[in-house]
Amino acid sequence: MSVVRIENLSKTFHTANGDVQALRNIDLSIEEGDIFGIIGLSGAGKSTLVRCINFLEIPTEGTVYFENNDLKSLTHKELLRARQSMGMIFQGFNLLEQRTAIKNICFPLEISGVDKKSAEKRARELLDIVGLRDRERSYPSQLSGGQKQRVAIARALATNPKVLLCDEATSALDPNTTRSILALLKEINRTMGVTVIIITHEMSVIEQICNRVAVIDKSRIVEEGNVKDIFANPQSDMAKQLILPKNAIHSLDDYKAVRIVFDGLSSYEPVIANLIMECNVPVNIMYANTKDVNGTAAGEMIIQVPDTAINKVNAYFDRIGIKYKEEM
Amino acid sequence: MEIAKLADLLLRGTGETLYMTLLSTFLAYVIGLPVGIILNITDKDGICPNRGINTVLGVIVNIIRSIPFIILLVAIIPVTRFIVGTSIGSTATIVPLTAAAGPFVARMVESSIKEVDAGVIEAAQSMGASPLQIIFKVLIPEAKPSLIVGSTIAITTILGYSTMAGFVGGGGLGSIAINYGYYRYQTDIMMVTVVLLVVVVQLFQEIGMRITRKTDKRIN
Ligand SMILES: Nc1ncnc2c1ncn2[C@@H]1O[C@H](COP(=O)(O)OP(=O)(O)O)[C@@H](O)[C@H]1O
Ligand SMILES: [Mg+2]
Repeated sequence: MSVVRIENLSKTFHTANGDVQALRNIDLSIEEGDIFGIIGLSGAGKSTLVRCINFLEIPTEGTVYFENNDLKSLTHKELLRARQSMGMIFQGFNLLEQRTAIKNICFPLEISGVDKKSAEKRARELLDIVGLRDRERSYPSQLSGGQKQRVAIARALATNPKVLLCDEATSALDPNTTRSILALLKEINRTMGVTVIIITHEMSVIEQICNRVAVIDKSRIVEEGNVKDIFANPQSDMAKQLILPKNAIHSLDDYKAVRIVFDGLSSYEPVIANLIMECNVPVNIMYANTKDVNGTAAGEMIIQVPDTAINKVNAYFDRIGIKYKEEM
Repeated sequence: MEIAKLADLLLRGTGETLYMTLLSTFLAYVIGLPVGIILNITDKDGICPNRGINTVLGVIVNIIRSIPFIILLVAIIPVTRFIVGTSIGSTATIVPLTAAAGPFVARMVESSIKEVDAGVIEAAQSMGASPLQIIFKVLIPEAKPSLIVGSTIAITTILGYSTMAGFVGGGGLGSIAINYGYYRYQTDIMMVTVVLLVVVVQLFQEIGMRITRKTDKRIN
Protein backbone atom coordinates (compact mmCIF):
# COMPACT_ATOMS: atom_id res chain seq x y z
CA MET A 1 0.00 0.00 0.00
CA SER A 2 1.33 3.39 -0.79
CA VAL A 3 1.80 5.63 2.22
CA VAL A 4 2.25 8.76 0.17
CA ARG A 5 0.81 9.19 -3.29
CA ILE A 6 1.27 12.31 -5.34
CA GLU A 7 -0.84 12.91 -8.42
CA ASN A 8 -0.19 15.53 -11.04
CA LEU A 9 1.20 17.98 -8.52
CA SER A 10 2.36 21.42 -9.59
CA LYS A 11 3.52 24.34 -7.50
CA THR A 12 3.99 27.90 -8.64
CA PHE A 13 5.34 30.67 -6.42
CA HIS A 14 4.12 34.15 -7.16
CA THR A 15 6.94 36.54 -6.38
CA ALA A 16 7.63 40.20 -6.99
CA ASN A 17 9.90 39.18 -9.85
CA GLY A 18 7.25 37.07 -11.53
CA ASP A 19 6.08 33.50 -11.21
CA VAL A 20 8.44 30.66 -10.36
CA GLN A 21 7.22 27.21 -11.28
CA ALA A 22 8.97 25.04 -8.73
CA LEU A 23 7.20 21.76 -9.56
CA ARG A 24 5.46 20.54 -12.71
CA ASN A 25 3.13 17.56 -13.00
CA ILE A 26 4.74 15.38 -10.39
CA ASP A 27 3.46 11.82 -10.00
CA LEU A 28 4.97 9.65 -7.29
CA SER A 29 3.94 6.74 -5.21
CA ILE A 30 5.87 5.84 -2.10
CA GLU A 31 5.21 2.42 -0.64
CA GLU A 32 5.20 1.41 3.00
CA GLY A 33 8.70 0.46 4.15
CA ASP A 34 10.44 2.23 1.28
CA ILE A 35 13.55 4.27 1.69
CA PHE A 36 12.73 6.57 -1.14
CA GLY A 37 15.35 8.97 -2.48
CA ILE A 38 14.62 12.17 -4.36
CA ILE A 39 17.75 13.48 -5.99
CA GLY A 40 18.43 16.59 -8.03
CA LEU A 41 20.62 19.63 -8.29
CA SER A 42 20.12 22.68 -6.12
CA GLY A 43 17.01 24.62 -7.12
CA ALA A 44 15.43 21.62 -8.82
CA GLY A 45 12.41 21.77 -6.50
CA LYS A 46 13.26 19.05 -3.97
CA SER A 47 12.50 21.03 -0.81
CA THR A 48 9.27 22.31 -2.29
CA LEU A 49 8.25 18.75 -3.12
CA VAL A 50 8.94 17.44 0.37
CA ARG A 51 7.12 20.42 1.91
CA CYS A 52 4.11 19.62 -0.27
CA ILE A 53 4.03 16.13 1.23
CA ASN A 54 3.15 17.52 4.68
CA PHE A 55 1.33 20.53 3.25
CA LEU A 56 3.76 23.08 4.70
CA GLU A 57 3.45 24.20 1.10
CA ILE A 58 0.03 24.01 -0.50
CA PRO A 59 0.24 22.65 -4.07
CA THR A 60 -1.10 24.93 -6.77
CA GLU A 61 -2.51 21.90 -8.58
CA GLY A 62 -2.76 18.19 -8.02
CA THR A 63 -3.32 15.97 -5.03
CA VAL A 64 -1.29 14.54 -2.18
CA TYR A 65 -2.66 11.42 -0.52
CA PHE A 66 -1.32 10.41 2.88
CA GLU A 67 -2.55 6.96 3.85
CA ASN A 68 -5.18 7.37 1.16
CA ASN A 69 -6.53 10.64 2.61
CA ASP A 70 -6.54 13.60 0.28
CA LEU A 71 -4.71 16.22 2.37
CA LYS A 72 -6.62 18.99 0.62
CA SER A 73 -9.90 17.65 1.95
CA LEU A 74 -8.80 17.66 5.61
CA THR A 75 -9.89 20.35 8.07
CA HIS A 76 -7.11 22.39 9.66
CA LYS A 77 -7.30 20.27 12.83
CA GLU A 78 -7.16 17.04 10.86
CA LEU A 79 -4.17 18.34 8.91
CA LEU A 80 -2.30 19.14 12.14
CA ARG A 81 -3.07 15.60 13.31
CA ALA A 82 -1.87 14.13 10.01
CA ARG A 83 1.39 16.04 10.37
CA GLN A 84 1.95 14.32 13.71
CA SER A 85 2.18 11.10 11.68
CA MET A 86 4.91 12.59 9.50
CA GLY A 87 8.24 13.36 11.13
CA MET A 88 10.62 15.74 9.43
CA ILE A 89 14.34 16.46 9.76
CA PHE A 90 16.34 19.23 8.16
CA GLN A 91 19.78 20.22 6.97
CA GLY A 92 20.04 22.82 9.74
CA PHE A 93 18.67 20.48 12.48
CA ASN A 94 16.22 23.17 13.66
CA LEU A 95 16.31 22.24 17.33
CA LEU A 96 14.86 24.56 19.97
CA GLU A 97 18.00 26.29 21.23
CA GLN A 98 16.55 27.06 24.65
CA ARG A 99 15.54 23.48 25.37
CA THR A 100 17.69 20.52 26.41
CA ALA A 101 17.94 17.44 24.20
CA ILE A 102 15.29 15.59 26.16
CA LYS A 103 12.95 18.60 26.17
CA ASN A 104 13.36 18.92 22.42
CA ILE A 105 12.24 15.33 22.03
CA CYS A 106 9.31 15.97 24.38
CA PHE A 107 8.18 18.90 22.23
CA PRO A 108 6.08 17.02 19.64
CA LEU A 109 4.60 14.96 22.47
CA GLU A 110 3.55 18.12 24.32
CA ILE A 111 2.01 19.33 21.06
CA SER A 112 -0.04 16.18 20.77
CA GLY A 113 -1.16 16.37 24.39
CA VAL A 114 0.90 13.60 26.00
CA ASP A 115 1.44 14.14 29.73
CA LYS A 116 4.87 15.16 30.94
CA LYS A 117 5.82 11.90 32.61
CA SER A 118 4.97 9.65 29.69
CA ALA A 119 6.62 12.13 27.34
CA GLU A 120 9.90 11.99 29.25
CA LYS A 121 9.78 8.22 29.38
CA ARG A 122 9.28 8.04 25.62
CA ALA A 123 12.02 10.65 25.07
CA ARG A 124 14.50 8.52 27.05
CA GLU A 125 13.68 5.46 24.96
CA LEU A 126 14.39 7.50 21.85
CA LEU A 127 17.63 8.92 23.25
CA ASP A 128 18.67 5.30 23.70
CA ILE A 129 17.81 4.43 20.12
CA VAL A 130 19.84 7.32 18.73
CA GLY A 131 22.72 6.62 21.11
CA LEU A 132 22.59 9.79 23.18
CA ARG A 133 21.38 8.51 26.52
CA ASP A 134 24.04 10.43 28.43
CA ARG A 135 23.32 13.76 26.74
CA GLU A 136 19.72 14.29 27.77
CA ARG A 137 20.47 17.47 29.68
CA SER A 138 22.69 19.01 27.01
CA TYR A 139 21.54 22.06 25.12
CA PRO A 140 21.91 22.05 21.32
CA SER A 141 24.81 24.52 21.58
CA GLN A 142 26.71 21.84 23.50
CA LEU A 143 26.25 19.14 20.85
CA SER A 144 28.10 18.39 17.60
CA GLY A 145 26.33 18.46 14.24
CA GLY A 146 25.90 14.71 14.17
CA GLN A 147 24.57 14.67 17.73
CA LYS A 148 22.13 17.48 16.93
CA GLN A 149 20.82 15.50 13.96
CA ARG A 150 20.40 12.48 16.21
CA VAL A 151 18.32 14.54 18.63
CA ALA A 152 16.31 15.84 15.66
CA ILE A 153 15.72 12.27 14.47
CA ALA A 154 14.60 11.23 17.95
CA ARG A 155 12.28 14.24 18.06
CA ALA A 156 10.83 13.42 14.65
CA LEU A 157 10.16 9.84 15.75
CA ALA A 158 8.61 10.68 19.12
CA THR A 159 5.01 10.53 17.93
CA ASN A 160 5.52 7.22 16.10
CA PRO A 161 5.15 8.66 12.62
CA LYS A 162 4.44 6.55 9.55
CA VAL A 163 6.81 8.59 7.42
CA LEU A 164 10.08 10.38 8.06
CA LEU A 165 10.85 13.24 5.67
CA CYS A 166 14.53 14.13 5.44
CA ASP A 167 15.44 17.34 3.61
CA GLU A 168 19.20 17.31 2.97
CA ALA A 169 19.58 15.86 6.45
CA THR A 170 23.23 14.97 5.97
CA SER A 171 24.34 17.85 3.78
CA ALA A 172 25.82 19.80 6.67
CA LEU A 173 27.74 16.81 8.03
CA ASP A 174 31.18 15.36 7.28
CA PRO A 175 31.41 12.03 5.40
CA ASN A 176 31.88 9.87 8.50
CA THR A 177 29.01 11.46 10.38
CA THR A 178 26.89 11.23 7.23
CA ARG A 179 27.52 7.50 7.09
CA SER A 180 26.54 7.00 10.71
CA ILE A 181 23.37 9.08 10.35
CA LEU A 182 22.39 7.16 7.21
CA ALA A 183 23.04 3.89 9.01
CA LEU A 184 20.77 5.08 11.82
CA LEU A 185 18.00 5.96 9.36
CA LYS A 186 18.29 2.54 7.76
CA GLU A 187 18.15 0.88 11.17
CA ILE A 188 15.03 2.87 12.07
CA ASN A 189 13.42 1.90 8.78
CA ARG A 190 14.19 -1.75 9.42
CA THR A 191 13.26 -2.01 13.07
CA MET A 192 10.42 0.48 13.36
CA GLY A 193 9.01 0.10 9.87
CA VAL A 194 9.07 3.84 9.26
CA THR A 195 8.92 4.81 5.60
CA VAL A 196 11.79 7.19 4.89
CA ILE A 197 11.82 9.86 2.19
CA ILE A 198 15.25 11.30 1.58
CA ILE A 199 15.96 14.47 -0.33
CA THR A 200 19.55 14.93 -1.42
CA HIS A 201 21.85 16.21 -4.12
CA GLU A 202 24.43 13.50 -3.44
CA MET A 203 24.29 10.20 -5.30
CA SER A 204 26.31 8.52 -2.56
CA VAL A 205 23.45 9.06 -0.10
CA ILE A 206 20.98 7.37 -2.45
CA GLU A 207 23.36 4.48 -3.10
CA GLN A 208 23.99 3.94 0.56
CA ILE A 209 20.45 3.44 1.82
CA CYS A 210 17.66 3.95 -0.72
CA ASN A 211 15.79 1.17 -2.46
CA ARG A 212 13.93 3.49 -4.79
CA VAL A 213 14.82 6.82 -6.29
CA ALA A 214 13.26 9.62 -8.30
CA VAL A 215 15.49 12.00 -10.22
CA ILE A 216 14.19 15.55 -10.37
CA ASP A 217 15.46 18.04 -12.92
CA LYS A 218 14.14 21.56 -13.45
CA SER A 219 10.87 21.00 -11.57
CA ARG A 220 10.06 17.66 -13.23
CA ILE A 221 10.67 14.05 -12.37
CA VAL A 222 12.75 12.75 -15.23
CA GLU A 223 13.38 9.21 -14.04
CA GLU A 224 12.12 6.93 -11.33
CA GLY A 225 12.69 3.35 -10.31
CA ASN A 226 14.77 0.91 -8.27
CA VAL A 227 18.11 2.31 -7.24
CA LYS A 228 19.88 -0.76 -8.64
CA ASP A 229 18.32 -0.37 -12.06
CA ILE A 230 18.83 3.35 -12.36
CA PHE A 231 22.33 3.10 -11.07
CA ALA A 232 23.14 0.34 -13.56
CA ASN A 233 21.46 1.93 -16.50
CA PRO A 234 20.62 5.60 -16.15
CA GLN A 235 18.36 6.91 -18.92
CA SER A 236 17.96 10.63 -18.33
CA ASP A 237 20.73 13.16 -18.81
CA MET A 238 20.37 14.26 -15.20
CA ALA A 239 20.69 10.74 -13.84
CA LYS A 240 23.76 10.18 -16.00
CA GLN A 241 25.26 13.43 -14.84
CA LEU A 242 24.69 12.50 -11.19
CA ILE A 243 25.96 8.95 -11.54
CA LEU A 244 28.73 9.10 -14.09
CA PRO A 245 32.05 10.53 -13.11
CA LYS A 246 33.00 13.75 -14.78
CA ASN A 247 36.01 13.74 -17.12
CA ALA A 248 36.40 9.98 -16.97
CA ILE A 249 35.86 9.72 -20.69
CA HIS A 250 38.30 11.67 -22.74
CA SER A 251 39.17 10.35 -26.16
CA LEU A 252 42.50 8.74 -26.70
CA ASP A 253 43.39 8.19 -30.34
CA ASP A 254 42.87 4.63 -31.46
CA TYR A 255 41.20 3.70 -28.20
CA LYS A 256 37.54 3.23 -27.39
CA ALA A 257 35.96 3.80 -24.00
CA VAL A 258 33.50 1.18 -22.87
CA ARG A 259 31.32 1.49 -19.82
CA ILE A 260 30.54 -1.83 -18.19
CA VAL A 261 28.01 -2.34 -15.47
CA PHE A 262 28.19 -4.99 -12.80
CA ASP A 263 25.11 -6.24 -11.12
CA GLY A 264 24.64 -9.19 -8.90
CA LEU A 265 26.98 -12.11 -9.31
CA SER A 266 29.18 -10.97 -12.14
CA SER A 267 31.17 -8.66 -9.95
CA TYR A 268 32.57 -11.65 -8.15
CA GLU A 269 34.11 -12.96 -11.36
CA PRO A 270 37.56 -11.77 -12.42
CA VAL A 271 35.97 -10.11 -15.45
CA ILE A 272 38.84 -7.82 -16.39
CA ALA A 273 41.55 -10.40 -15.91
CA ASN A 274 39.64 -12.87 -18.08
CA LEU A 275 39.08 -10.17 -20.69
CA ILE A 276 42.78 -9.51 -20.94
CA MET A 277 43.68 -13.15 -21.18
CA GLU A 278 40.92 -14.26 -23.53
CA CYS A 279 41.06 -11.37 -25.95
CA ASN A 280 44.72 -10.71 -25.55
CA VAL A 281 44.18 -6.92 -25.34
CA PRO A 282 45.72 -4.22 -23.17
CA VAL A 283 42.97 -2.77 -20.96
CA ASN A 284 43.19 0.63 -19.41
CA ILE A 285 40.90 1.19 -16.43
CA MET A 286 39.78 4.84 -16.46
CA TYR A 287 37.29 4.68 -13.67
CA ALA A 288 35.96 2.03 -11.34
CA ASN A 289 33.29 2.14 -8.73
CA THR A 290 31.84 -1.06 -7.42
CA LYS A 291 30.11 -1.52 -4.15
CA ASP A 292 27.52 -3.33 -2.19
CA VAL A 293 24.05 -1.95 -2.86
CA ASN A 294 21.36 -3.40 -0.64
CA GLY A 295 23.03 -6.76 -0.31
CA THR A 296 23.96 -7.37 -3.92
CA ALA A 297 27.10 -6.14 -5.59
CA ALA A 298 26.74 -3.39 -8.15
CA GLY A 299 28.91 -0.88 -9.84
CA GLU A 300 30.47 0.31 -12.99
CA MET A 301 33.78 0.65 -14.73
CA ILE A 302 34.97 2.62 -17.66
CA ILE A 303 37.76 0.91 -19.56
CA GLN A 304 39.68 1.72 -22.68
CA VAL A 305 40.55 -0.87 -25.26
CA PRO A 306 42.22 -0.50 -28.68
CA ASP A 307 39.89 0.32 -31.59
CA THR A 308 41.02 -2.75 -33.38
CA ALA A 309 40.00 -5.05 -30.55
CA ILE A 310 36.59 -3.56 -29.85
CA ASN A 311 34.59 -6.27 -31.61
CA LYS A 312 36.40 -9.00 -29.77
CA VAL A 313 35.81 -7.24 -26.48
CA ASN A 314 32.12 -6.72 -27.15
CA ALA A 315 31.73 -10.36 -28.09
CA TYR A 316 33.38 -11.36 -24.83
CA PHE A 317 31.00 -9.18 -22.81
CA ASP A 318 28.03 -10.61 -24.73
CA ARG A 319 29.20 -14.10 -23.93
CA ILE A 320 29.58 -13.60 -20.20
CA GLY A 321 26.36 -11.55 -20.09
CA ILE A 322 27.58 -8.28 -18.72
CA LYS A 323 25.96 -4.97 -19.68
CA TYR A 324 28.22 -2.67 -21.64
CA LYS A 325 28.02 0.41 -23.75
CA GLU A 326 30.55 2.08 -25.98
CA GLU A 327 31.04 5.70 -25.00
CA MET A 328 32.01 8.22 -27.66
CA MET B 1 18.27 72.40 53.75
CA GLU B 2 19.20 70.01 56.50
CA ILE B 3 20.74 66.72 55.55
CA ALA B 4 17.98 64.58 57.09
CA LYS B 5 15.26 66.43 55.24
CA LEU B 6 17.22 66.28 52.01
CA ALA B 7 17.82 62.57 52.40
CA ASP B 8 14.14 62.06 53.03
CA LEU B 9 13.26 64.07 49.92
CA LEU B 10 15.67 62.16 47.72
CA LEU B 11 14.59 58.82 49.14
CA ARG B 12 10.95 59.61 48.44
CA GLY B 13 11.87 60.83 44.95
CA THR B 14 13.76 57.65 44.19
CA GLY B 15 10.85 55.57 45.48
CA GLU B 16 8.38 57.45 43.28
CA THR B 17 10.63 57.11 40.25
CA LEU B 18 10.96 53.38 40.77
CA TYR B 19 7.21 53.04 41.31
CA MET B 20 6.37 54.95 38.11
CA THR B 21 9.01 53.20 36.06
CA LEU B 22 8.26 49.67 37.15
CA LEU B 23 4.49 49.92 37.03
CA SER B 24 4.56 51.71 33.64
CA THR B 25 6.95 49.11 32.25
CA PHE B 26 4.69 46.34 33.46
CA LEU B 27 1.61 47.96 31.92
CA ALA B 28 3.51 48.77 28.73
CA TYR B 29 4.29 45.05 28.41
CA VAL B 30 0.66 44.12 29.11
CA ILE B 31 -0.15 46.10 25.97
CA GLY B 32 3.09 45.76 24.00
CA LEU B 33 3.71 42.03 24.34
CA PRO B 34 0.47 40.90 22.66
CA VAL B 35 0.60 43.72 20.12
CA GLY B 36 4.22 42.89 19.24
CA ILE B 37 3.36 39.21 18.85
CA ILE B 38 0.35 40.02 16.67
CA LEU B 39 2.50 42.34 14.55
CA ASN B 40 5.00 39.54 14.08
CA ILE B 41 2.64 36.68 13.28
CA THR B 42 0.40 38.71 10.95
CA ASP B 43 3.40 39.84 8.92
CA LYS B 44 3.54 38.37 5.42
CA ASP B 45 6.29 35.96 6.53
CA GLY B 46 4.60 35.25 9.87
CA ILE B 47 2.70 32.16 10.94
CA CYS B 48 -0.75 33.79 10.42
CA PRO B 49 -0.29 36.38 7.69
CA ASN B 50 -3.05 39.00 7.78
CA ARG B 51 -2.40 42.15 5.88
CA GLY B 52 -5.39 44.08 7.27
CA ILE B 53 -4.63 43.57 10.96
CA ASN B 54 -0.91 44.06 10.40
CA THR B 55 -1.35 47.36 8.59
CA VAL B 56 -3.92 48.83 11.02
CA LEU B 57 -1.90 47.90 14.12
CA GLY B 58 1.32 49.04 12.49
CA VAL B 59 -0.10 52.45 11.64
CA ILE B 60 -1.52 52.99 15.15
CA VAL B 61 1.80 52.03 16.71
CA ASN B 62 3.72 54.32 14.37
CA ILE B 63 1.44 57.29 15.00
CA ILE B 64 1.77 57.07 18.77
CA ARG B 65 5.50 56.51 18.49
CA SER B 66 5.99 59.60 16.39
CA ILE B 67 4.31 61.94 18.91
CA PRO B 68 7.01 63.53 21.07
CA PHE B 69 6.57 62.38 24.66
CA ILE B 70 6.25 65.86 26.09
CA ILE B 71 3.33 66.58 23.76
CA LEU B 72 1.68 63.25 24.47
CA LEU B 73 2.06 64.02 28.16
CA VAL B 74 -0.01 67.19 27.83
CA ALA B 75 -2.42 65.97 25.17
CA ILE B 76 -3.42 62.97 27.21
CA ILE B 77 -4.27 64.97 30.37
CA PRO B 78 -8.06 64.56 29.99
CA VAL B 79 -7.66 60.81 29.72
CA THR B 80 -5.35 60.79 32.72
CA ARG B 81 -7.90 62.80 34.76
CA PHE B 82 -10.61 60.39 33.75
CA ILE B 83 -8.63 57.31 34.78
CA VAL B 84 -6.72 58.53 37.86
CA GLY B 85 -8.82 61.51 38.93
CA THR B 86 -5.90 63.93 38.78
CA SER B 87 -3.19 64.83 36.29
CA ILE B 88 -0.35 65.48 38.72
CA GLY B 89 1.76 63.18 40.84
CA SER B 90 3.45 59.92 40.12
CA THR B 91 0.32 57.78 39.77
CA ALA B 92 -1.06 60.15 37.15
CA THR B 93 2.24 59.99 35.24
CA ILE B 94 1.82 56.27 34.77
CA VAL B 95 -0.94 56.87 32.21
CA PRO B 96 1.12 58.86 29.65
CA LEU B 97 4.18 56.71 30.35
CA THR B 98 2.25 53.56 29.53
CA ALA B 99 0.68 55.15 26.46
CA ALA B 100 4.07 56.20 25.14
CA ALA B 101 5.94 53.03 26.05
CA GLY B 102 3.33 50.47 24.93
CA PRO B 103 3.92 50.96 21.18
CA PHE B 104 7.67 51.20 21.75
CA VAL B 105 7.61 47.89 23.61
CA ALA B 106 5.43 46.37 20.87
CA ARG B 107 8.11 47.12 18.25
CA MET B 108 10.87 45.74 20.50
CA VAL B 109 8.90 42.54 21.08
CA GLU B 110 8.17 42.26 17.36
CA SER B 111 11.85 42.50 16.49
CA SER B 112 12.94 40.07 19.24
CA ILE B 113 10.51 37.48 17.94
CA LYS B 114 11.66 38.06 14.40
CA GLU B 115 15.09 36.78 15.48
CA VAL B 116 13.68 33.30 16.09
CA ASP B 117 15.06 31.02 13.37
CA ALA B 118 12.47 30.37 10.67
CA GLY B 119 13.69 26.77 10.49
CA VAL B 120 12.70 26.13 14.10
CA ILE B 121 9.20 27.48 13.40
CA GLU B 122 9.01 25.29 10.31
CA ALA B 123 10.02 22.28 12.39
CA ALA B 124 7.23 23.02 14.89
CA GLN B 125 4.74 23.36 12.03
CA SER B 126 5.91 20.06 10.59
CA MET B 127 5.07 18.47 13.94
CA GLY B 128 1.51 19.73 13.72
CA ALA B 129 1.82 22.60 16.22
CA SER B 130 -1.06 25.10 16.09
CA PRO B 131 -0.35 28.84 15.88
CA LEU B 132 -1.09 29.27 19.60
CA GLN B 133 1.25 26.41 20.49
CA ILE B 134 3.93 27.97 18.30
CA ILE B 135 3.53 31.32 20.07
CA PHE B 136 3.74 29.92 23.58
CA LYS B 137 6.09 26.99 23.07
CA VAL B 138 8.40 28.30 20.37
CA LEU B 139 8.32 32.04 19.74
CA ILE B 140 8.28 33.35 23.32
CA PRO B 141 10.66 30.79 24.89
CA GLU B 142 13.14 30.95 22.01
CA ALA B 143 13.07 34.77 22.01
CA LYS B 144 13.31 34.99 25.81
CA PRO B 145 16.93 36.17 26.06
CA SER B 146 16.31 38.84 23.45
CA LEU B 147 13.03 39.83 25.13
CA ILE B 148 14.88 40.33 28.41
CA VAL B 149 17.51 42.50 26.73
CA GLY B 150 14.62 44.46 25.20
CA SER B 151 12.94 44.91 28.57
CA THR B 152 16.17 46.30 30.01
CA ILE B 153 16.23 48.89 27.25
CA ALA B 154 12.52 49.58 27.75
CA ILE B 155 12.85 50.07 31.49
CA THR B 156 15.73 52.56 31.18
CA THR B 157 13.93 54.45 28.43
CA ILE B 158 10.77 54.65 30.53
CA LEU B 159 12.86 55.89 33.46
CA GLY B 160 14.11 58.69 31.23
CA TYR B 161 10.56 59.58 30.19
CA SER B 162 9.45 59.60 33.81
CA THR B 163 11.98 62.30 34.70
CA MET B 164 10.70 64.36 31.76
CA ALA B 165 7.26 64.13 33.32
CA GLY B 166 8.77 66.05 36.23
CA PHE B 167 8.31 69.22 34.15
CA VAL B 168 4.56 68.95 34.47
CA GLY B 169 4.35 67.87 38.09
CA GLY B 170 4.97 64.21 37.50
CA GLY B 171 6.74 63.52 40.79
CA GLY B 172 9.87 61.45 41.35
CA LEU B 173 13.52 62.42 40.89
CA GLY B 174 12.68 64.40 37.76
CA SER B 175 10.45 66.78 39.70
CA ILE B 176 13.13 67.27 42.34
CA ALA B 177 15.75 68.07 39.73
CA ILE B 178 13.48 70.62 38.07
CA ASN B 179 12.07 72.23 41.23
CA TYR B 180 15.30 72.57 43.17
CA GLY B 181 17.93 72.65 40.46
CA TYR B 182 16.18 74.71 37.81
CA TYR B 183 13.65 76.93 39.56
CA ARG B 184 15.60 77.47 42.82
CA TYR B 185 19.15 77.36 41.40
CA GLN B 186 20.20 74.65 43.87
CA THR B 187 22.58 73.01 41.43
CA ASP B 188 24.01 70.67 44.07
CA ILE B 189 20.63 69.01 44.65
CA MET B 190 20.17 68.64 40.92
CA MET B 191 23.58 66.97 40.66
CA VAL B 192 22.68 64.51 43.39
CA THR B 193 19.43 63.56 41.64
CA VAL B 194 21.28 63.07 38.36
CA VAL B 195 23.79 60.81 40.10
CA LEU B 196 20.93 58.86 41.64
CA LEU B 197 19.33 58.45 38.21
CA VAL B 198 22.61 57.19 36.77
CA VAL B 199 22.90 54.67 39.59
CA VAL B 200 19.35 53.40 39.04
CA VAL B 201 19.92 53.04 35.28
CA GLN B 202 23.18 51.17 35.89
CA LEU B 203 21.43 48.90 38.32
CA PHE B 204 18.67 47.98 35.87
CA GLN B 205 21.21 47.45 33.11
CA GLU B 206 23.36 45.18 35.23
CA ILE B 207 20.44 43.11 36.49
CA GLY B 208 19.07 42.77 32.96
CA MET B 209 22.39 41.58 31.54
CA ARG B 210 22.87 39.10 34.34
CA ILE B 211 19.44 37.57 33.83
CA THR B 212 20.04 37.39 30.08
CA ARG B 213 23.35 35.60 30.53
CA LYS B 214 21.73 33.13 32.88
CA THR B 215 18.76 32.54 30.58
CA ASP B 216 20.40 32.18 27.21
CA LYS B 217 21.33 28.58 26.53
CA ARG B 218 23.06 29.37 23.26
CA ILE B 219 26.14 30.72 25.02
CA ASN B 220 27.67 28.47 27.60
N1 LIG C 1 8.81 30.49 -0.80
C1 LIG C 1 9.29 30.63 -2.06
N2 LIG C 1 9.00 31.74 -2.78
C2 LIG C 1 9.44 31.88 -4.04
N3 LIG C 1 10.21 30.98 -4.69
C3 LIG C 1 10.53 29.86 -4.03
C4 LIG C 1 10.10 29.63 -2.69
N4 LIG C 1 10.58 28.43 -2.28
C5 LIG C 1 11.29 27.94 -3.33
N5 LIG C 1 11.26 28.79 -4.38
C6 LIG C 1 11.89 28.58 -5.70
O1 LIG C 1 11.51 27.31 -6.18
C7 LIG C 1 12.60 26.65 -6.79
C8 LIG C 1 12.85 25.33 -6.12
O2 LIG C 1 13.36 25.55 -4.83
P1 LIG C 1 13.64 24.38 -3.80
O3 LIG C 1 12.45 23.50 -3.73
O4 LIG C 1 14.10 25.00 -2.53
O5 LIG C 1 14.84 23.62 -4.52
P2 LIG C 1 15.89 22.55 -3.94
O6 LIG C 1 15.45 22.15 -2.58
O7 LIG C 1 15.85 21.44 -4.92
O8 LIG C 1 17.21 23.23 -3.94
C9 LIG C 1 13.77 27.61 -6.73
O9 LIG C 1 13.85 28.30 -7.95
C10 LIG C 1 13.40 28.54 -5.60
O10 LIG C 1 13.96 29.81 -5.81
MG1 LIG D 1 16.44 22.35 -0.72
